[in-house]
Amino acid sequence: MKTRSDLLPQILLGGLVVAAVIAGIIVVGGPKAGRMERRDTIRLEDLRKLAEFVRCVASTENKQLPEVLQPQAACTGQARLADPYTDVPYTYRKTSDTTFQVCAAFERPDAVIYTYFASGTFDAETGCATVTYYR
Amino acid sequence: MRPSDQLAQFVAEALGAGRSRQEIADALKGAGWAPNDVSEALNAWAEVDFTPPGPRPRPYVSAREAFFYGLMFAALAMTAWHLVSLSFNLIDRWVPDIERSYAYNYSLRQMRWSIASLIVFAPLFMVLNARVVRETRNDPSKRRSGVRKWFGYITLFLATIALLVDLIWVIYLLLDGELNLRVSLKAMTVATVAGVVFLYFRRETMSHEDAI
Repeated sequence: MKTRSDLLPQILLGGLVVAAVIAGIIVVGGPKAGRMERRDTIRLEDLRKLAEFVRCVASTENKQLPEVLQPQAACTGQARLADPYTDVPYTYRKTSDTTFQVCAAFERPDAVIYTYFASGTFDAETGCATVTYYR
Repeated sequence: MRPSDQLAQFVAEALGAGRSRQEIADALKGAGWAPNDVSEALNAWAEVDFTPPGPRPRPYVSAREAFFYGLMFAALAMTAWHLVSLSFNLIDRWVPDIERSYAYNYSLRQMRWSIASLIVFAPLFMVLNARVVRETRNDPSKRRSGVRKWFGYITLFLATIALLVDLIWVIYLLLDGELNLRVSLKAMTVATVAGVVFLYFRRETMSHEDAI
């Protein structure tokens, strides 16, 4: 009787901790998931810089958005044109005279936060940022 | 000489002179002592047919125990805190708030931190607690440890405060019209964790005789 009442809180606390830790690991994933998130953070930063690069290129070309993205001596900056982990080039699409899209393949789109994008919107599901170019 | 020492000396001498406990209690009450002062002074001496009366064991304080109970207290506090934090994040994940869907990645980092803390502190607490239970069983005089009492009561105090604040929170949210499934689950989590901690330390503090 006494030993059982002694053990009850121990079993309860132990059970709660084990359940929470297991559920937590299932949700956050292992070290692999953490690395995916970190790579995605870099990709999102790259897209922001890429959008900046596109604006720069447009300003050197009579304020016309380029049809295809190529390295530009005047606008090298720090923009990467390809995914540094997979070497797959980031997608650039001119969607109208004043709007364009830059896209990357995200590995854990549901975990991407800080989706703010200057004069545009970012959708983690598609991995694309739609940006307006103000001439 | 402190008044409590004078009282102890008086009781010892009176008992040694063969006066009955009732007589001593009446004399002290007549002198203006509060009933619990009187019963404490009388309880310090064993009720046996032997003069002079034998002293009862008194609470003690030891640095070694301060280390153990301090560590155990910290481990329990960290375990309880991170258990609640991790549960909150899990509840936010399973019952999402449509008005606030950001901070997902941040909560993932927070959850990793909570998991790491639980992996370290929960077993530490279990081991220390098992050790304390074992030592107490082998040597019941450990129950009189002043450090043990103090940490026990501090823990009980914090658990009670947590339960009360939890109750206030629920009533406030009820009045505010925000008492939804997510918040109810969180309130239940806090109540469960605080309740378990309460259970843990209730038996620590149950023997009031030597409480200081």
